[in-house]
Amino acid sequence: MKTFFFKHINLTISILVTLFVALFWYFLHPEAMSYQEQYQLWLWDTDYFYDSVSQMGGLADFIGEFIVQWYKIEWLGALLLGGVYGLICWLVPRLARSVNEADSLFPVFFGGCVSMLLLWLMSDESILMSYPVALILAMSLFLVLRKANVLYDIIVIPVMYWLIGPVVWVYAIMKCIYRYEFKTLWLPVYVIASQILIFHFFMPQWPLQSALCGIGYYRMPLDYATLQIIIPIVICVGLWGYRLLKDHYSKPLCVCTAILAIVFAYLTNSKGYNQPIYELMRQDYLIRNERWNDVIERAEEVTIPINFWSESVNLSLGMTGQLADRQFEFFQSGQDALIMPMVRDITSNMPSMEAFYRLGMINECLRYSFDMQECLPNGKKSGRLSQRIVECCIINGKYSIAKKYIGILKKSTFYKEWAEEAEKYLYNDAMVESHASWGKARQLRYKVNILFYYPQIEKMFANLFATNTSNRLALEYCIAQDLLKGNADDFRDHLSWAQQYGGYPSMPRAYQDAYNCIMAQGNLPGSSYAEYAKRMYDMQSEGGFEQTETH
Amino acid sequence: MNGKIVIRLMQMLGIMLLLVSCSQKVENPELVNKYPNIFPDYIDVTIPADIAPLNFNIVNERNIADDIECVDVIAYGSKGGEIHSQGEYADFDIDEWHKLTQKNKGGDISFKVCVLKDGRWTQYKEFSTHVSNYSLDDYGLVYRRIAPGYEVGGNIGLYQRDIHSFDEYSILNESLVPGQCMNCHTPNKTSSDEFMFHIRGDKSATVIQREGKQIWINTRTDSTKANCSYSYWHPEGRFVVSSTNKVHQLFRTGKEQNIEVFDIMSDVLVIDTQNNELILSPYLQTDNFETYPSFSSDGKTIYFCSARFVNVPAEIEKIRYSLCKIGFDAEKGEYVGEVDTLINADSVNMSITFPRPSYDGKWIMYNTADYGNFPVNHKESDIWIMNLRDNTVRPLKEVNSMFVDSYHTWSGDSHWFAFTSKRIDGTYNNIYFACIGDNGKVTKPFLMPQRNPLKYYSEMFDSFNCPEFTKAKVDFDSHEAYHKCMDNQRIQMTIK
Repeated sequence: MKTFFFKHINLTISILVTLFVALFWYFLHPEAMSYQEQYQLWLWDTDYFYDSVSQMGGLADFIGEFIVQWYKIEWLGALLLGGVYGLICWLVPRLARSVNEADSLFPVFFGGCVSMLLLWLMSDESILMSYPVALILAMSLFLVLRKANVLYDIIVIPVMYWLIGPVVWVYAIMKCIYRYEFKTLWLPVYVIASQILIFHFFMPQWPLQSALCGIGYYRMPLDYATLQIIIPIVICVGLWGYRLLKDHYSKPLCVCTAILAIVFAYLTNSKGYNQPIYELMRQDYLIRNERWNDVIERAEEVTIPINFWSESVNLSLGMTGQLADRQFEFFQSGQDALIMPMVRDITSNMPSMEAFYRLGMINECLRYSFDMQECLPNGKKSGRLSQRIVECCIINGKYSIAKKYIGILKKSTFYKEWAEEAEKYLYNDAMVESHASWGKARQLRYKVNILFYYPQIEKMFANLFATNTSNRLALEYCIAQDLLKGNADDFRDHLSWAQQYGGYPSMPRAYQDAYNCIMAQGNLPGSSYAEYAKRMYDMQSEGGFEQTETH
Repeated sequence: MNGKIVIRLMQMLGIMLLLVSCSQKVENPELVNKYPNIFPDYIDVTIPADIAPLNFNIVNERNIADDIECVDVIAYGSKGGEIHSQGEYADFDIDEWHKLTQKNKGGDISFKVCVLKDGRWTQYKEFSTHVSNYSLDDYGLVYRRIAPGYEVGGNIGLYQRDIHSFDEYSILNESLVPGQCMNCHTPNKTSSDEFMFHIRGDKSATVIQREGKQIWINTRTDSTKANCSYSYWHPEGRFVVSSTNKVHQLFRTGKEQNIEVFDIMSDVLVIDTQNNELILSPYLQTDNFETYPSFSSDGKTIYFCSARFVNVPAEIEKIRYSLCKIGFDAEKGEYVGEVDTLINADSVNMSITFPRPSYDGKWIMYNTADYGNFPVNHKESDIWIMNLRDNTVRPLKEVNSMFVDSYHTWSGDSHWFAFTSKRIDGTYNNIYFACIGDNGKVTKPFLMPQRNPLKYYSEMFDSFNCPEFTKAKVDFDSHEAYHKCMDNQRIQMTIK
């Protein structure tokens, strides 16, 4: 009866953890799922599989990416993610019972502890799903092969190292605990030897550090999260201790472990997910889904004083026709509050890229999309960015390049349908021109071939607007940039455009405020533009005007 | 490389399954009097014996895989021999193919193509390829693969390809040196044992490998302002002529030509790899732009390109480079004489770049474009050739296309050349080969063979950059390179 109880409490806790994690991600952090999903493109293609497994740790990467692609359907993605934690929560007690068969609740609480640590670790946006997948595979392998003889280990360790990466250490150490009780150390030595030999002969294009710490666990090359190392150590040390303790101190141990699990859960939320980066991810997620009003509503509650935030809010204001009224009600980071210069990473330029697309600056959008995609450290493709590249190429009539990207998108699960639809537009200009978004972009894009020059971005907007005077967003961006730069003369000049083409019933509030502020030479109490100008002036005096923080 | 054996086994299994799935007898084919639509276009091309098999796919007019059930191809030689392939695409056995091409050196190989579509066989008009008498004995090519992007090159890498098979190997990849960019691999002629390339980034260096030993040098000095970039070896191996360029790029709003790459300063100098010195000349360190140097085959002349200074980027469309030369004495390590202009850009109204003398001393191949020094971004860029016996020039119409054609390089015996072209889609550079006879006759080029060409090229998201022939497989210790790159210890060049 007691055994029955212990067996089922494990399953129950695992299901609870699954549900808890699923609800946590689905309701609290769908943006984190969107963030992870947009930087990969899992393909139904044998070459994709071969390419994955031809790299150390590639099987874990392949399975991890397979899971992450389901984040596109948020509830299902959250459930799968919860399932990963639930599985770990289920496996850890199984491991514990294999080394100590005592009827104790410690294994269950310890499983909860590990799951919460993992949840904490996953708050680092650069941790990839390969890592928990590798952990699951290593622990499962131990459960299957724990009684297997030496010959199995000799074969399994290098093979599994190649397939799941250095987390194979969990298997080896568990085997040391279970089978040898650390009386012999040949297994750890064998793991190190395998790693070094494989590194030497099969990894000519990777440094030793990657061979020892893993390639696909962390997005940034040669960088690792501390918890990434700590979690396997906690699992192995915890279970070794549990084996040594036998049935002694069971109750205090259980209480301590349960408290630890709760502490980790608290730290996970307060330290892990409560960071500005999650606010920015949320904005990006909302923009990706064109939820402009939600961006503005959130911005009314929370301010993250950097350019990424300003750009997102300004774009949302522009898309809802509020930019001319409300721009300076929100934090403006400086001259880069509308468009950022190119930054070599995968995230910073997302709002600029989205703004370019909607403005009709198609080449610039293509450039930012392309460069962000090429910044992906694993050299793979991004579904979101590939999709945008296809759109830009179709708008520009570069059908053969669009065809190339459509080719890979068609092999994905969730971009396939979109790609097949987009394919119908190839080589058919009339059809493109009748498309709501692409046709409009063709109307808005530049008709002249000039050099893009970021330091004079307001002139780029002005030129774009001159191309098509119905492009109100370009007009508003042009005037907004004048204001951000404090170009009073240009602002006055462009106000005449606003009057002629803007279709405003009266002068928009932000323009009115800025105009009055300029007339009062900045001395206008209560003016939000005066506040901005003063802040910029102060920053300039401190030599920091050009150095607004970049995410 | 990584797990290649496992992959090869899996691929073999896949091929076996494919063979089982498409093994049919060609019965009552309908004869049509036209060539099949194939990718790549191998109709009437000239190939060297022993090149990798010319596998091809059946496609529609837009190079999209045609919806066929099976293709049956018989390739037979005018001097005998026959091989057969049946499947999703024409896929010839490498050994059989080599035997066939060897047997038909100087002759033709004809292809009889039958296609099964909608349950019916169609037999197309036979086409031929010619097997040249000139062999191509080099092992293969070394090139850089880079995403044809804007400011970010993606997962850049230097690779080598055995042109007699489909095998490609990494020499150095960005995964090993994250954040660092790799410039062109530059061998001495086609040597696999004496070559150089540059690393750009915070670990910047020029890497020279000679007889298996890596030397990491810093070519930037107070007098030269920038690191060395476009380089070319003196045939005796002691000197390397190089340009120092401060390169910038801007982007256009138009839909045709997106990127402008230009120098804001550039000079030419010679590196003495023995004394670790840079040899400067007032003729090559001027306010004008000097770039793209190369040594003549006898090492006595340096060819380079020179343009009058203009304000960039404002006057970028006015920059035109002329082809110039200056003498060099390798005994003394000195320049000889003054600069002589071979082709004046103003007189031809074109910008001339990338002069590459053939190793037999007969030709110089170069690029032309409307303006500027980065032909790879100019759609109008073409390859021209100068006959060094009489200094006559002509465009290589046999190989030029409507799109960018550039990065030409000579094989060891100078009877073959490789170049890159964006003719497939206008954006991605791919490698083509062509043959040049003693009389200067150039043959129709052919795309670098791949096992499944359509799949390979349609799913390849890298451009092929700066190909160079290599006599043998390059042996480069990438792990040693990693350590040398990271320790940041460089041999500092000084001015002679």
